[in-house]
Amino acid sequence: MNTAHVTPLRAIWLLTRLRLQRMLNVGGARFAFKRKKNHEKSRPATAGKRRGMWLVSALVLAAMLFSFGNIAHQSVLNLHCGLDAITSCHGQDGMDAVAAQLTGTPFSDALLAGLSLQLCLLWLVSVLLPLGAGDLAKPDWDLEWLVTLPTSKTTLLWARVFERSVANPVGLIALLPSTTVIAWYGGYGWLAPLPALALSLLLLLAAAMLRTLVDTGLRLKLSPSSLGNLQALISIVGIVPMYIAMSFGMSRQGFAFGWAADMPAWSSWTPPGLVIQLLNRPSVALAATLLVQVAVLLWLGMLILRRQLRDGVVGSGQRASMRTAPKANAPAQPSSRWQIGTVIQRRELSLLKRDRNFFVQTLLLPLVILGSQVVFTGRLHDVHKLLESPALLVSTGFFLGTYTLMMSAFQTLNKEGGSLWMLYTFPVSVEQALKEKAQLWAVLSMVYPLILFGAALLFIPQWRWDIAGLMLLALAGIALYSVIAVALGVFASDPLATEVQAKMRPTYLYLYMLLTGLYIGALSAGSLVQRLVFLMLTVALALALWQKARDQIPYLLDPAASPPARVSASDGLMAAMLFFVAQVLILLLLKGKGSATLLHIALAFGAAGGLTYVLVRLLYWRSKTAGVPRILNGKQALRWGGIGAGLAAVCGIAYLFALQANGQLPAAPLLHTAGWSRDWLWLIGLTVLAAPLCEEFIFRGLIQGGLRRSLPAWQAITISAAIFAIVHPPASMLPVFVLGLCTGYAYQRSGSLLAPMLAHAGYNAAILLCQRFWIT
Amino acid sequence: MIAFEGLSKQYGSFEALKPLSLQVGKGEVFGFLGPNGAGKTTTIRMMMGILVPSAGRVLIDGLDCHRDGAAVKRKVGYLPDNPIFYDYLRGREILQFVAEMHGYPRAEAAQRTARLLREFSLDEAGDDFAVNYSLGMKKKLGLACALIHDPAVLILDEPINGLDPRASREVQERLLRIAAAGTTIFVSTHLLDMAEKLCSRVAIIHQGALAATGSLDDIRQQLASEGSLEELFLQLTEPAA
Repeated sequence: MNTAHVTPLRAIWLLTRLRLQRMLNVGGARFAFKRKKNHEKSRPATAGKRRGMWLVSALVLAAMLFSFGNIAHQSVLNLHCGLDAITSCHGQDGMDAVAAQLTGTPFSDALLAGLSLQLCLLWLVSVLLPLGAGDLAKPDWDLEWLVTLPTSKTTLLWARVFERSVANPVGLIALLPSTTVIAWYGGYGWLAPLPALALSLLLLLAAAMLRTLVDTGLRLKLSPSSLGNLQALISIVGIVPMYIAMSFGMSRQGFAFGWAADMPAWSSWTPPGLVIQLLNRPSVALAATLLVQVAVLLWLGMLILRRQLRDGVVGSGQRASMRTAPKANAPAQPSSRWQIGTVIQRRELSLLKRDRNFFVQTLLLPLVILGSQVVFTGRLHDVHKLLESPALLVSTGFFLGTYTLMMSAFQTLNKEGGSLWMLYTFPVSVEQALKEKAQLWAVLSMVYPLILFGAALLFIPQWRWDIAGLMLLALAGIALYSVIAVALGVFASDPLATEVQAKMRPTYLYLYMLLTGLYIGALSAGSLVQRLVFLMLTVALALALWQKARDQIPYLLDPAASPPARVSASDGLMAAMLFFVAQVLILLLLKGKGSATLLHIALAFGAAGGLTYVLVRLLYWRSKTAGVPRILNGKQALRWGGIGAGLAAVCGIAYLFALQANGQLPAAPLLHTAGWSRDWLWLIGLTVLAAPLCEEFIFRGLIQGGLRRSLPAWQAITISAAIFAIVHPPASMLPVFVLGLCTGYAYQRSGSLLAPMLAHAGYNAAILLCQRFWIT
Repeated sequence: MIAFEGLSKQYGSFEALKPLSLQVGKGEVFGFLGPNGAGKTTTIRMMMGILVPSAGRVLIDGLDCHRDGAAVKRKVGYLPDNPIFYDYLRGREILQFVAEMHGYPRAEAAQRTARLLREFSLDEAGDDFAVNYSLGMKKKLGLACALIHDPAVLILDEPINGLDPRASREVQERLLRIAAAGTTIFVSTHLLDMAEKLCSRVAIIHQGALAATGSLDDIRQQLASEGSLEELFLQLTEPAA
């Protein structure tokens, strides 16, 4: 037996270190700074799948800190201008002067009180958000275990409070930007983060005590299910102080400014107020007051905590409460006659009905966010603007829908969690189950937009087709994004992860948000054609992502293996994107400041095509991808190529004549210059050789071939032809679509890329010659 | 009924299961024995399409478990080693859901649910949320889920691990009854007395490789030993082997 005792301080240090180590391990698993070399025989844990995402995460963190710092800076200036009645607060120059004048001068009492209010709100955030984010309903991971260690309960409780104040990243992100900015105005210059960090930690100590009191008390008193519900409430309530605190930095109107003006003078003598005073004009007396106050608070908290835990650290039967409650309303037999949706959809609905957390996050949170934007920034009158600007209206509706999807459809796999295995035991494919969920959420997430749009249509004076069309476009977008969300959710979630934080890879969440942002951009700007083009691209993207996700499904519960590489439609989309971006960049490089000549265009086109082709082949070769399209394989390439060329050329020439008859034929002076100039040769080289080679590889080989894996031939041909058409100028979209259909058919029948290449070359040659010789 | 054809699985460079070839006949109760970490659960997960084989395949009633997953599952009932159920659903609702996923109309699903709950004496607990169940109750519920569609093949991963003596006895007796009705049972375990009582044939795997297969007598003959299954098992799974 070991007779040596651990001193309380050492115990506190050990426990705090353990928690920090655990946090690092959780983060480390995600960031993967270094990967341990595995010993020959040992099991290589589960290192196989994850890629180092640390760069993205670090960038996001930096962006967050920067924007929060900016808001904090704006808040100080806004409060200064509003509360101290500064008159020169307008324009960039005026604000700069105010900021310079404020630096190093002591804050007025009104400003101190206002900033105290803001810091107090942020402090609340640092208590509430961690409370709402952790899993209260789960048994505490350590207290039950820690009490078995040979230290006193008081030591353990102090350790708990200390580790929670140090390991509170959310709290730090909430407090640090604000305190740093205030320290900056206090004249600390570049040293500002140091006193800011020290004083923030002091506040976080109090926050940790409050949080521990709340969650210990709740755990002892409430059953797991009511805990879950309460937690949902807390996660909502936590957002409110955050928005109010942020509203100071956004505008000078919101009602929170009224509160700030009414703050009593004593508020600067509360801990947050003292922190601000200290940062603004340091003094020993102030520091001592602050320390005493925090110490008293901690001591009081500890008294309550010990009282809470006087009967032991485990609540009075977390199960017993469950056994008694649901008896009365237990639906012993399914009674209702009619049913909605499929079995899976009904289960999802009943989960939504019971899991308040889920309900709040999916259906309530979008409203709360939108509502707090409107209320706290004092822009209630903006509601009228919705009716004036159709683009803003449909964007808002689309946002509401896709936000719901982000919390629901995106989380489908995550929600299955540990019981994902059940889906694998049914005689229904997992893909089918996901599809049914996507359908369900597409419908549910349209509820708010439909209400919004319906109300708007009632309020506008007369029926407007353009607004109705936009609304339809937004609703179609929501349906498509439900597919995209489920597919991205498949990549984003890690059903094998045990840590809540590791279950979701945030990068895909950002990707989803980015994509919704793009669609909102397309909704609010651009012509009808551009919007339709974007809709088409979104359809293709949804299909491509779904295909990738489907490939992933058999490997979801596999700790190491990933699906073998196969050509997929998403490869084609990416290749197409690379092709066009490279083309634009190379053209910019070539032409410099002058205007682009045909030679430049031809060179850019050829180089971009060649680059894309080589890169794709290289990647496929490296990853040993299966199903790479072949040029010379297949049968009767010449025959099908010829037929395709003939059909497409007839349609194309007819279209040319139709345009000419209507007088809509775009002028093409080059085509009518006499003789066979050098430019002519370039044009022929470009259209008859380079274009068929690059474009057919991408659009037929990759996109159509990829789509063909999950769609019937005619759909794959039509969609790839449509994508092919929309990347061409509007005037030529129709004949190019027909060309896409013909070459697609030729590829489908022959199985060789040579056929569509020949068809494409033949068509281009025919159109070129026709324009040169017949049309004048 | 079940045919393993060179089935193998690698996790990175670690060989969890070396190529395994085995046949299990119709109506057999086949014990799949091995120490912890021998590859039992990996094998079973590949049978259920939860993991993708690195090589080879496993057929149930002539259907590839990876390729024809949905069709295989019409015939198979599965109990995982640690069944985790949906949060916020009661035992009865989970069972009802599983029955409906197997294509039974609502009324019949409810009827089957009620029958199985009664048979597993989960009548009362059926109205509690399943997350609150004890391990024994979870296993019973899992077994009920596996049996709800009267499968021709039962695949059980450590069915009585962690059960108290009474529950364990109940489960074993039930398995014997199911086997008597002609169901093929593939059961993994490291509890040897259960294997000795239940199984007509066993396979012992060790470090991912098949160490012995056959009836108990066959294995005794192979090893020229007269010991109990426990002695045979220890002999076959020595750390150095």
